[in-house]
Amino acid sequence: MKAPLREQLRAQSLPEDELTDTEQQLLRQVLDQDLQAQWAKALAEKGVHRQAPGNLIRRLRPWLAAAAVILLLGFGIWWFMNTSQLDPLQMAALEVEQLSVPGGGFQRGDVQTDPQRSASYTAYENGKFQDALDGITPLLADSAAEASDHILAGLCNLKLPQPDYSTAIRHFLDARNSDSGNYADDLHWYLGLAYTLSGNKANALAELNAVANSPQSRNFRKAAELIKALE
Amino acid sequence: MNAGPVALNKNFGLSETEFQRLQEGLKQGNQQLFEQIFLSHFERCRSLLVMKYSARQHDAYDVVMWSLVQFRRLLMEGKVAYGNLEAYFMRIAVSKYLRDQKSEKEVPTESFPEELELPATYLEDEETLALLAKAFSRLGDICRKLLKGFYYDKLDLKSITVLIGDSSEANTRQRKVRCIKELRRVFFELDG
Repeated sequence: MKAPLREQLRAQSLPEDELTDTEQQLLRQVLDQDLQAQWAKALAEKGVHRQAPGNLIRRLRPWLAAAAVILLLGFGIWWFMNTSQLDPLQMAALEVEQLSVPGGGFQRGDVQTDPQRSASYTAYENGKFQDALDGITPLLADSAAEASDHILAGLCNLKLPQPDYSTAIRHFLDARNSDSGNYADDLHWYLGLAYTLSGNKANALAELNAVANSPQSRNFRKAAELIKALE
Repeated sequence: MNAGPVALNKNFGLSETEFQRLQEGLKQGNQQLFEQIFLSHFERCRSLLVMKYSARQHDAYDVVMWSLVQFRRLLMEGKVAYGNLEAYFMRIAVSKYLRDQKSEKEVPTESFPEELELPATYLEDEETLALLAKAFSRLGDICRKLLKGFYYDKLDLKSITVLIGDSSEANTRQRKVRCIKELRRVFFELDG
């Protein structure tokens, strides 16, 4: 195999004051390329390009195809994420699962003087929602029932293996009637979730809007997302 | 020589006086007029190759570009006479195109002012060329001007002395030796 030109040059004894014929030819080619690049630029400024537009598209076809695939994938991911995000029932159910600590400082009852109420709250905290409901229900008929007792009953109905949304809603509305205002924001949120899960979109939106329009509410972002999903 | 309307059409619109001015300019390293005239005819020459020889657009572009470089060299060397410049130019382009295509098509047998003189095929060693291009670009501005002027634009030493602002031809001669040495040093250094 013929050695590369540079190896041939290296092997030669080169004159000091002149480039050899081969070197001159190489230099001419290099400068020819420079000149062509310079003219190509001048021509491009006049709108004369090496590739005709059709050829350019043909040359770019693999890249265009790759771009199309990426776009399709992107759209698919976007659609999937939006679809999954925009299911209000799933969103509300997830929120209900996370309601492990009822807001607003629950009335927990004193173990000694109020053992039944205390046991109900403890059962709730331990995830025993049926026990908690059984324990708190008799107390609700008592005129001494607190708004927090109705809330506990409502939350239990939401979290039971077979949730009872309408009963939960009734308890939350009872809580609102007996509440002096401490649980107003929480109750909007709970009712918003309960109405959503029960399929009452109008009431759900009304409750959730009350939360979303209250920036100081700790649930206002979640409420806005759920509203978006409902709409 | 006939410089009437027909001749004008055959000579890229140049009159004989303008042609001589263009040629003189090139010999002195000024290619402004050449570019002005020939780049404006580039697209027409390319179209001719595409229409008449079914050349692809980019092949025709490359061929016309290459032909321009060769035509410039022939003009500088005084090997082109005024008369039918356009036919001569297209003969170069068509010959190159057919040679590239290894086609058996015959070159049109028109009469031309001169014998066609095309350079032998280029040295095909892209790696060496790339190394030399890199080495040349690393030279100082004066060395680049000097070597380009001497070996490419074929300027005499006196013109190069003026071009690079040297004090004397003797200095330029010595500088040329140093530039060659530097070019080789960088070239072989890049080669490793």
